[in-house]
Amino acid sequence: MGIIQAENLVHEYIRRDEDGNVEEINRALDDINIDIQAGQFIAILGHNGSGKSTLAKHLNAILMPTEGTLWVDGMDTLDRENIWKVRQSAGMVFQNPDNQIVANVVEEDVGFGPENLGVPTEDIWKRVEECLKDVRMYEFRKASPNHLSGGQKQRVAIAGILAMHPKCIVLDEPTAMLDPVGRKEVIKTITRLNKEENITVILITHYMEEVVNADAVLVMDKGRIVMQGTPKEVFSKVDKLKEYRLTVPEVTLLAHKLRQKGVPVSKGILTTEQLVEEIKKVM
Amino acid sequence: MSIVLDKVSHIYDLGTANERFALKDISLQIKDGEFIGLIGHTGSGKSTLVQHLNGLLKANYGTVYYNGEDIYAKDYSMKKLRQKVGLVFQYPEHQLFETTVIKDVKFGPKNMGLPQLEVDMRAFEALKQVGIGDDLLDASPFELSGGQRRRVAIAGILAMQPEVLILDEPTAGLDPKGREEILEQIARLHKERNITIILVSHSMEDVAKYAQRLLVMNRGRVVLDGAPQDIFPHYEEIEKIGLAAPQITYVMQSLKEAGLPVDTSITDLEQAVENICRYTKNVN
Repeated sequence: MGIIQAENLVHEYIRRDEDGNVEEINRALDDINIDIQAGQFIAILGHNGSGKSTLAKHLNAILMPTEGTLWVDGMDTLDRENIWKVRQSAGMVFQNPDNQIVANVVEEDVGFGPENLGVPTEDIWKRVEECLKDVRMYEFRKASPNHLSGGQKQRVAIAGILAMHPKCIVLDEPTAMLDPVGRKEVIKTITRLNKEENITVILITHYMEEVVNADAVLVMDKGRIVMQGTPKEVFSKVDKLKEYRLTVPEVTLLAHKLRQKGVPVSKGILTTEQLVEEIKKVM
Repeated sequence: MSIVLDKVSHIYDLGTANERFALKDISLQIKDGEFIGLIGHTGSGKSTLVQHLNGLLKANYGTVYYNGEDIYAKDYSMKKLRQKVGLVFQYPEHQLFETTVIKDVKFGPKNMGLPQLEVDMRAFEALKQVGIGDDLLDASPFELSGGQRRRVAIAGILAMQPEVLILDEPTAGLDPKGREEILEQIARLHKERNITIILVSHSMEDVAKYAQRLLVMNRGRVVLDGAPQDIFPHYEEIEKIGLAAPQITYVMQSLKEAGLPVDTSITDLEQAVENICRYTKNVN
């Protein structure tokens, strides 16, 4: 069994009127089956309302399955006794950095999680130091989060999650509010945590360029997983992605259009370097 | 007709130990009907700048002129200015508060004291402009998708029929299709009604595609001002201040370094395709 496994997972949002009668049922997750192995970097794409965030909230036991089962690190999330262990195993980073920072000093913010877990004080400080170094924010440990840029705040939020020693980090559009450099910093940080610390990463994003290094890409639509494969496999289906209100990285689109015009470059090109190498061969 | 900033400076926390310039000595002119892309890293002063254009923030030094009138003059009507210069904040859908879509959009023109009929007409027209169909008029804003909610919020500003429309990251958090829909609608407004557009964005691809003129900010100053095709070839300079060029720029640049005589000022996808095809051996 992988670190995250879903079997026929269904989630329904149920709206009731004042008397408690069911008014409307909205099936946000519809028969999801996934098996994510420890150490993988998984990206989830999908239009607004496709079910990505609902799925993410299940991984962290914020939501519970209506039907089916979800195991996080072998623990059934429906079992209430597991709830804190699940949340410790799968940490979550949200879109808006300002909503996730609780303390007035960076290092205290990072220490908040382990302190709540009852970690002994010396260990907390050790963890804080390690995690801030991991996200390259150690030099800002005494700073006030107010004075940090969006990308820096988001890295502090990631350090705060790391300090709880999770096996898996779920990031729900962590770069949506960041400038280009902030975005690069965050993606670089999570890529390194995945490669060097072997932490499982689940990245939800609307920026196609951010997922080219993932091990696998899952595409969601209407609560279902409708496409999955390596970035190369998924991004070679430009037209199909457009049907799901998505797109491909600009470089991939450029390569796709060049192919249509008869320039013999391969399918599923993901980076500038790959495209330039291919074009060099046909100059 | 234009907006002129004359040596505008804005200082946050004036008189305290944290005193710092958010805007420093900015002078520029925004002409009628321009489509401007305003870019800069987080904290560079973009949002502070746009809030000066409709008088939400007042400059500590310098003056803002709207159509030749000093907006800080004693008898100048800030209320009128705010109707003419519409500002759509980040995540504007958080500000929807009415029970139905149409009521929310009517709120602005109603507050302007317009007759009922005029209010209704403006609200219907504004919703049509952002592509919200009649079937959604009586829906609760909370029943809509994220992209739809945002378009309703933009319609609320449009219903006041502003001459200048400022949008602070209107596409943040939207899926690619939703981003394209909003930007296409803004481009259409610009073209059909000749509204001046100021688009604040972190997406270099978007400003390259839609804006005619870019203002690049760093540390409270406008450090570059020009057409996208003139600015993005200096990608090394803009990387130093926390930005980047569109992906196409990097491709063209690398191809040129590899010996292909392509035009490195191109940022548009179709133009890039055409330009590259000239220098490659094609199969058909």
